[in-house]
Amino acid sequence: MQRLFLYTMLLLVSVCFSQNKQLLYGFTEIPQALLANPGAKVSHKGYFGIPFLSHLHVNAGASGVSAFDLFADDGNDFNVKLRNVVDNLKPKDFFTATQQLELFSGGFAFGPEYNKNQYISFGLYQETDVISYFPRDLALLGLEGNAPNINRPFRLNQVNFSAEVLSVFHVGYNKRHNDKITYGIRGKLYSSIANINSTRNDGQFITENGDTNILRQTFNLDLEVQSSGIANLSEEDVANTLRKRVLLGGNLGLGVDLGFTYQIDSQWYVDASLLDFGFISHTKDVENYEVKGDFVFEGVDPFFIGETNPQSADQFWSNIEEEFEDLFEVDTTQTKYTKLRPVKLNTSLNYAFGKQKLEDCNCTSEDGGYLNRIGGQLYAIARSRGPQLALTAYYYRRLLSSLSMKATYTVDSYSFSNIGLGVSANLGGFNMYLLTDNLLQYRNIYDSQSVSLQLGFNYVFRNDK
Amino acid sequence: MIKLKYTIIAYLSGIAMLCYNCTEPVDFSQSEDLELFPVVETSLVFFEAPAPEFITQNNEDFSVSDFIEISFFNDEFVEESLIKADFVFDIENSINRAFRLDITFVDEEGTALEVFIVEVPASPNNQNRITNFVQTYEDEALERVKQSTSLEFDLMLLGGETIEEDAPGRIDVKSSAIFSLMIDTN
Repeated sequence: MQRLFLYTMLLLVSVCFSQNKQLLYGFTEIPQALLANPGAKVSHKGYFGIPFLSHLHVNAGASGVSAFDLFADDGNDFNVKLRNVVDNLKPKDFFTATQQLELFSGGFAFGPEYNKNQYISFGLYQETDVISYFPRDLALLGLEGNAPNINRPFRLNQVNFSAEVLSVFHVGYNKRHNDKITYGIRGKLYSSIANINSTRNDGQFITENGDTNILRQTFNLDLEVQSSGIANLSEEDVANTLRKRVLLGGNLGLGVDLGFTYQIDSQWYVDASLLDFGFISHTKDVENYEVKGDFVFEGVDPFFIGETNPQSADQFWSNIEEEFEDLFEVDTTQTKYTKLRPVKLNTSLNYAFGKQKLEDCNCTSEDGGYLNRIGGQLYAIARSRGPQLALTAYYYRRLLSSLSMKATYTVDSYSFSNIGLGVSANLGGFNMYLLTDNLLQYRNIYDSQSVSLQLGFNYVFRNDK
Repeated sequence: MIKLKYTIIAYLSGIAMLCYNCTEPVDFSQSEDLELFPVVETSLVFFEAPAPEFITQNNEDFSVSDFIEISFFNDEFVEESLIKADFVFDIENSINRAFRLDITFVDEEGTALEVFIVEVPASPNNQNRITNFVQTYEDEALERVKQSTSLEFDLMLLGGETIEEDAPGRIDVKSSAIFSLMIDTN
């Protein structure tokens, strides 16, 4: 376990993350599947998650680059590899990171004794969500400078990142309305522990051939960073402050998850969920930084020959220096701000087949359900530069009454060859699950552009058969 | 018991898959080899003046001086990263007088540390004569330049024909500085 933990931490530093839970979605043996779709079918009477161990999710992804591209111990010059990576990445490429850790969770069915068709689930989890687009122009400016890039604009709208650490209290209600329809809703109370984002940048820097001098440099800056929960985070009471923020002492927000399952016939069903439709209002410990201004620089005229009111070159230069300092002066404000949570959409079409054969009568079980399922899933997440999509085809198989698996093939921004495998096992009341994708890359994890891992332990009260 | 075995094997093999045989050699310490060589080019001085501007009382030895105080070279980042500085001058002269432009790097005590001279020939037929000049500083000379806190400009007309009030021609000086940097993790 320690090694696994170490490995996970290594992943955290080597690559970044995304949020697709294609393996968990629809895997209803796992109680946490209700977090991916509050309207999923519930097949147990109740459960409680083993505190801190019920759900760990880490998911790392970088479109267009892998850690191996940069850090392979292949004897090649690191700077050449870096140059290749920058050349291959586009401004729409991104690095994302998500981590979730459930602190506690539970659920129970209720309703009339003969038909407990309603279900309440609840819990508290902590989440980290980071995304940064690749600011290609700035990377190029750092690598080459402006001299080989005369007349080329360095665009600042490519600077686009956000990071949030938050805790989420949630209570969900799920109802099997009838044999066909199951729906659910989950209310969420967000407590943002820390947030930093910079998603509304604009402007450019360009060096052009000038008129009065060889070159003309034009700065047009409109940059903004918003932050909350960071400015006053002093060293001394960090642990205490963070603990308070996890327990609703941070910047608060509200959100809702919605979902349904519709059984078309005995073998076909569709389902869908909309997650994290909500916002966080950042009012406490807010500090925003702004750099705004325009400036054109063509040089210094040292000799004002013949002018009636000559200005010395040094005065001229001092004015320029002043204007330049003003341009880059950072305005700090405490303006409150509200950020929407990244909304996620899941939907799937599923087909179940192959009933279980009963050993003693050589017939199929009437109510044991189907052993196999195939389907297609679509996942979308709203990001500041438009949605990111993933399409998954899956095969699900119940191997034993206590052991089921799901295999997925996913096409997304990271790759066209993401194969995942998930296993859920029950030992008595104990449920444990391990879901991981990008198996093809496991021969060399560093060469994969995204990696996701979910695992957890629950105690499940199963339905009487 | 068989079920239990299956379950445990499936679970453990999943974890094992994560921990073994899943990496090829990587070396994250390579990032310490990071070396960037950006080249920054910026406008420097410019001026333009028609011939009659150079008429003075004694009309023979016109000269004008000026200076700017600069903190650029004293910046810690610049001190560490600057490995080469090129000063580029594109000068047009259509006055029938040669002139020279002296650029001196001066330290806080007023001591001249480095000087370079751009000599521009006269244009007897008042045609535009273009002089391209590049002064490069590297190594020890560059280290001296880095000690400077101000730049002095001296423009001197050299001997020649007297400039009349209606003398044709003009001087047009344009310049830029190209700073080659080396940025590394040390």
